Amino acid sequence: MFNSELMKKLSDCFSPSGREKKICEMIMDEIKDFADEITIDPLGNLIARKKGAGKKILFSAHMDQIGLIITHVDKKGFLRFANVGGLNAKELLGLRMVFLNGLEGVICQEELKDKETLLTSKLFLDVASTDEEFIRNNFHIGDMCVFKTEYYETEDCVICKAADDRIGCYILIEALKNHPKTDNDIYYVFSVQEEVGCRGAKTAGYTIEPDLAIAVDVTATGDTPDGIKMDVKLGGGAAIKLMDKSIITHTDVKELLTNTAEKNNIKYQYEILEFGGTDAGPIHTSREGVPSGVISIPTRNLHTSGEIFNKSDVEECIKLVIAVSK
Amino acid sequence: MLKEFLFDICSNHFVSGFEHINGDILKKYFKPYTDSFEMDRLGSYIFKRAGSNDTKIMLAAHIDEIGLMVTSILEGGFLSFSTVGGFNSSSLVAQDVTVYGKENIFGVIGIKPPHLTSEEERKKPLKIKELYIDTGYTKEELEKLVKIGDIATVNRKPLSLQGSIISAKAFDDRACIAVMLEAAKELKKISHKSNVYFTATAQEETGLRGAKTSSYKIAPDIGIVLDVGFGKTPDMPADSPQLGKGPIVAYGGRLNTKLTKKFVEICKKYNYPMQHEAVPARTGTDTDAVQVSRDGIPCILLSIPLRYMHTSVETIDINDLEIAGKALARFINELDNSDLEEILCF
Repeated sequence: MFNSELMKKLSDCFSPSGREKKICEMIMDEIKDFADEITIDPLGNLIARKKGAGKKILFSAHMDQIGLIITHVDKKGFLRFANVGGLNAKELLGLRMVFLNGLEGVICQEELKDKETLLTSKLFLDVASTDEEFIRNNFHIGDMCVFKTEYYETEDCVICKAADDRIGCYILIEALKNHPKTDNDIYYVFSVQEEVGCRGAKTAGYTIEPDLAIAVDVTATGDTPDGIKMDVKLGGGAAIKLMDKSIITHTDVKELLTNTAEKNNIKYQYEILEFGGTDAGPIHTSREGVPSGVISIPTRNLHTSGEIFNKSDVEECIKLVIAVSK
Repeated sequence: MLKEFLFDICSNHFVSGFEHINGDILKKYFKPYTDSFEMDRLGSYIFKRAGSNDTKIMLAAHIDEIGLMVTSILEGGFLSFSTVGGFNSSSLVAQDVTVYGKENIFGVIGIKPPHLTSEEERKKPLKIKELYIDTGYTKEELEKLVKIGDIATVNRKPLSLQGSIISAKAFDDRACIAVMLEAAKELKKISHKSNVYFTATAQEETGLRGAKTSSYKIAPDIGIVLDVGFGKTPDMPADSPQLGKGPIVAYGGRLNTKLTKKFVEICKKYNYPMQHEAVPARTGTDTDAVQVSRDGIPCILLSIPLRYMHTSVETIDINDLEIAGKALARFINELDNSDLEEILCF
């Protein structure tokens, strides 16, 4: 059964890259009774371990979300900003944003001259106040904000923000709660700063030195009208990544994931993503190299305020993570 | 001998991420000249020739080549594909390919006839997404043989042009694997003191990944990176490096100044011809990964001039490989008899 309450809580938690404190506390609270050992590394990665004498396996899902960072605040309550993670101006216009302190704003644009393209530098955040003191006291350079959107679900799918990669976190939490009996030494890593360059995974991979690493993250789909050409679709099961810009999945890992899925009747599909990368990128080139792969959750509208995924795919991903741990 | 090696190894595929499939061929050639063999966990091949002191010198040339990966099986027996590494899409048109599925499957990559191509379409650059591999099978037959993620390469028999000029696919960077082989042969004749690691790195074309992991594993004192450079063709500037005039020595922020100077001195002393290029910042070669491994590794970069990079008719002069290999053996021998600490300190 899909735990909507948990997913809603994860999706609504304010934690853009570099500001993962809140989500870290939330996940820690959720898993503290299930792990043998919980540590937070110097960069902020939350690492939960289930000890074993066998093979060291690292699973990674990132806790951070994309957002905006304020670069300038003017007296009239218009804030300028830069991206934290991959966002484009066209998709930002008109959106409501929310800060850590709960204050909000809406993204507006300057008047554009003919044929001028919309750039982030032409956008500003209107925080809905004419009170200079209120603005001075509440908004500062370096503050971050994220999309303000409501979690929504149907019988089979969910629309929410930050499904990238809170759904990965959800999967690892569920897998840890249902940790199988095994000799393997399993590290569930909830990583920081993936959206700005997989920085947390780099240090976590170095510290843990695993024998096998699997990132759990979202991937795009090819099932929308006139969308990108890609075979992955919602409802097609867990996506086993074969290649993206950060990794070519190790042949043995591809075989392992495929055979594990087949043996356990887990629905899967192969994925080749022609852009982007995941935590598996820096982890697989850590030290002498780490055989690595990715279990992906097919997700539409990536990096927008309304990412959509299918609950049955999530169940398949959880089953695959658990089966691989054994 | 180098030609025989190159023709053999370039008739086999080592697509990035799949370098393990034909590894035995590589091992066969290096075994007679080296003492031990190991791999990093990304699939880089490391052949070691032991010396008598503690110094470790890493030679690095990448074994991988660019290739294609099947992304979709379409009606009528066509395959969509993505690229593994960088291709100019025009270089793929009218080529025949092998798809490595359950069995090897031949295919061709065609293009719409000129009669059916509008003026506007002709002006636009071709996109990889618009190209397909035609196998002649039906979709149903093909689904039994090919899976998404299977790889393919362009077919090309290595060719001897006039004199010492040869042409094939994947001379980027197997020409430099041949340079390492030549250096290994030369080093076997002398009793060198340093430990020399001949490293055929994996996954250079997709982001210098094997260089990162293999240099971490070896932890060398010195890195010598070998790759191919752009050889002069009629459409290039007059002062571009030319085939047959020796390896190209690189100068820039990524390269160690004193070590580079030492190499040039030795080439001059023994009359090995060389060419020169300025690479102010990023080199786009394994150097960029090796240099910043662990606490930093002093590197030099040598390039072999090559025409038509990343096509199936990459063209080189075999003499450049012999010169580079012999010069490197001399260099290593002279380093053994120099004050290395003096050379490597700033």
